[in-house]
Amino acid sequence: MGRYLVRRLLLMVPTLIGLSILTFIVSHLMPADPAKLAAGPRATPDMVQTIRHEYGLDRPLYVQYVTYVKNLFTGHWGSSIVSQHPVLTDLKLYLPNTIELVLAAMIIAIGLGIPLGVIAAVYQNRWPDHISRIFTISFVSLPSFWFAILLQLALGFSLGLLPVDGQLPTLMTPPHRVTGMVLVDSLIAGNLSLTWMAFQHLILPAFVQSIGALAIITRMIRGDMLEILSQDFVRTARAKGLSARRVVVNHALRNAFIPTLTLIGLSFGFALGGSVLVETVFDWPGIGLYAVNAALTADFEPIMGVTLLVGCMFIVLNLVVDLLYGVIDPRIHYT
Amino acid sequence: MQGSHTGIQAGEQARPLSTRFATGVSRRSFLRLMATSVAAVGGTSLLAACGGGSSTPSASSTSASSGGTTSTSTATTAAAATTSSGASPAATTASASASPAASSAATTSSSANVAGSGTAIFASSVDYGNIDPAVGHDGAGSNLQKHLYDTLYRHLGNPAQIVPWLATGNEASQDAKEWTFHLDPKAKFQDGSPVNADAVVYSMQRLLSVNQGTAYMFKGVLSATGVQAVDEQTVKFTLDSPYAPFLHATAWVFIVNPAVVKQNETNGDQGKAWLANHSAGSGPFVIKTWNQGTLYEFAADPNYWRGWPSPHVESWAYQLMRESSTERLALQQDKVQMANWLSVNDMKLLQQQSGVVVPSFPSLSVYSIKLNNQRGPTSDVHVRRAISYAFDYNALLTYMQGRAVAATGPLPPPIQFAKDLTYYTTDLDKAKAELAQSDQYKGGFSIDFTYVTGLDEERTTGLIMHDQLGKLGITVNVISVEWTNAVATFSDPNKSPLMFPIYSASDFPDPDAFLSASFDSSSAGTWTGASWYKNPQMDDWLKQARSTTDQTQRNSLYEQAQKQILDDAVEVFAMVQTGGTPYRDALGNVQYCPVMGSSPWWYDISLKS
Repeated sequence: MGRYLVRRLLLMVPTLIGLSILTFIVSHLMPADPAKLAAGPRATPDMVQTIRHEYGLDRPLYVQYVTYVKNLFTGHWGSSIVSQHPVLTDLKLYLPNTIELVLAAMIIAIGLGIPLGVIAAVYQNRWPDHISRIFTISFVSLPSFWFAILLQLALGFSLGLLPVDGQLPTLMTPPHRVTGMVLVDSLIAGNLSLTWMAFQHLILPAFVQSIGALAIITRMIRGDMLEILSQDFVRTARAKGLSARRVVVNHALRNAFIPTLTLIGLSFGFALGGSVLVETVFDWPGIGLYAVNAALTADFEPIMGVTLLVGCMFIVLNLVVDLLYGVIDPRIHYT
Repeated sequence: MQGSHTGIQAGEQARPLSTRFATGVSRRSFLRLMATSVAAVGGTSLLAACGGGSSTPSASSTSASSGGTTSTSTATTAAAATTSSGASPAATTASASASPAASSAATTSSSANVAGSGTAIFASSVDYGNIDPAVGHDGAGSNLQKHLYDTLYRHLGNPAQIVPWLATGNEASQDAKEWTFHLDPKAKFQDGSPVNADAVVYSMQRLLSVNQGTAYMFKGVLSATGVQAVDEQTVKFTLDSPYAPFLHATAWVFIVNPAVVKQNETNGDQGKAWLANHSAGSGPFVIKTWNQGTLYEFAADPNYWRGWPSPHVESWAYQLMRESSTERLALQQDKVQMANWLSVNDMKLLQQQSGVVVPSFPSLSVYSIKLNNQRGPTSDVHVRRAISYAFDYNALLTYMQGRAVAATGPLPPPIQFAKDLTYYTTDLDKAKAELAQSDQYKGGFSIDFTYVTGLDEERTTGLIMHDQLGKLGITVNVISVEWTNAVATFSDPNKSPLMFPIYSASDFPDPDAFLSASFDSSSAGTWTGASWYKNPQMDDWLKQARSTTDQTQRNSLYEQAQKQILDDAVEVFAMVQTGGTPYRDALGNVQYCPVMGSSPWWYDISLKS
């Protein structure tokens, strides 16, 4: 296990180098001129050149790349050509918000998706299954931004049940920053009223963020459960007189869960980099929104920073999922 | 998975699994199961969130804070309630005050101080980028800069007038090359140090040295050695070449506190990194909260050197709401008191809302379709004229639902002095007559109309063009591109789009700001000069007009220039957007000024409790 872990961690290095080269090349192949965009509508050529020089954009591409990688190791991830904020500082600011959103979304997706999938399988082609199918197909088909606005209108503006934007009420002083996640920091600060408000603000964006993964997990669990439930060992377990609950949960679900675990890992990774629509509609200041704003202004270094960070997290998540296979299924060993 | 189960009752465990599958599930047990699952998810969410926090690396605090003071004014109220509330009746349109040179201009350094009251929330979809006065100058940023910093002169009111602010007055030489400004001796930075001539010299030289932001206004006009402190209160600008609108340009030179900037320099960066999200000015507001990407709050400085002669807000917050519909709903429900960058449809909906004022004034924002004068069919003046005649201007105005007026030439109505310009209106017969004279036409051709992805009025413009030119046998391909990619093409006439719609907002209300930006040869290749129009005669007229302070002579030159631009059909001048930011009628004395992002001037605005 130890050797496997070391090998996988070492493999991360070439993967990240490859990712950085690819992102760097793709970013620089775009016809956009970040210096011209940052300089503004009436900037003269020498003003554009000033910015280009300041950010090293007038140097050969390979020199820019080598400098960028060298700086990465010294903790300098570059700075935004638009705001001039250091990228690392921005990432520290925005990443916890995205993690908070995605964690909450995945908890909803897993917490609802697995029971729904199991129920749909157990009651195949009966009304629980049909209801589950309607919801999952709807969730997978709904454009998330549209669904988000619909929920805002219904639950926020019409019924006034839930806040529709931001992480806290306007002008509310946020808790002392420890993790950067407002809900968690509110709890750490022991401020229950702030925690409650942060929780309320999290519900809608987290739910909207979860629906895609929720639908896929439900369908995946259902499909795998149907396959497992028809196998001999399930019949054997039943013949041994085990309760239906134990057969379904301890025997069938455990076996059906492995493909879904892979899916959960991937969904988590995708959500980290793909939460932009939800972040936009709910004004949730996460890295998705940060990355898109950077892309709209061809701001290379923030784009590179987000790509590397999300790539890194993706790799780590996949590693964690691989290790969890062994935990769930004792037949899987790593050497 | 703890806490979730399949809804199978404990007492039923002995039943064979096949029987269970075969029989139905009761509605009650199913609902109980779902309720339990949802409760479990809710509980797990909280628990997981708690646990997640402990394993997450803590991030150091990065939100910037100016350390600015909150406004707990103890000042006396000598002239309380002298300013009109400006409150507008419910469900009205365009009823905000538009008086020239707002009340604040008339209250120069009054000793009167009215305490601030309340916090107004201003919703916006546009985040602040870089607020360093020598770097950032977009609409949102410049609106903030004018609250944090002062300038020698300032634009106020509608029509925008240039009024003394830090300066008490100025003298200009007849040739518009020497400008001398006298500073108000009472002017103070927010740290209490005086705003003197050295600070003005430092700020101007810093702008030129950084060579970003509004430095383009002074290119070929002023060099670093041309600005000098004559004495403590007098600063003199000696220009390299005459520049008649220089007074207007000074409204874009925000005066920074040299001592504060130097204290915050890093590796000789002239304070650029620090000033990106901090301020060092003498303006009426200080930064109270800076939560990048979410919320910013600015508190009235109770010690502002010009005083607070009228009721005003204690602070105003800038809250980001990136969806227009969210902004509108928040304004309708009084969750915010002002909102900007709303869509045309949302503005229309707000006009029917009681308690919300939707101002509508002609702005300085001209919407035109840039035609590439250097390549393709649009290099032929007859084709350009035909396109100008063919375009259905009324269709576009109908789409804008009252948020735009017809363009009457290259200049927007507020500064259009020429009365006898012949501008284009829809006339397909004239369009056909022009095409008959064109070598490019040959019975028809195909042409691309390029617009920025996601901008609906631009797409609509393309569709109107498609319909109209189709009647002339011209096929229009309406193509969307990302803004970033479009900008990159402007610098090359062989790549610059053949037809490209764009809003051109003016830095100040002077014809030079528009005409030089788009029609001087030196502007070709910039965003505003995407038409690549090159005409030595035009360059000469514009140069002459910049070189004299004789307004009659300037007007004459600009009239000739406009006639030539229209005759050459350089662009299709499609419409002029109306400006004005919707607000709740709880706000008083909201005045519109079309310069610097057309956004509110909170110094004058009060909030009813």
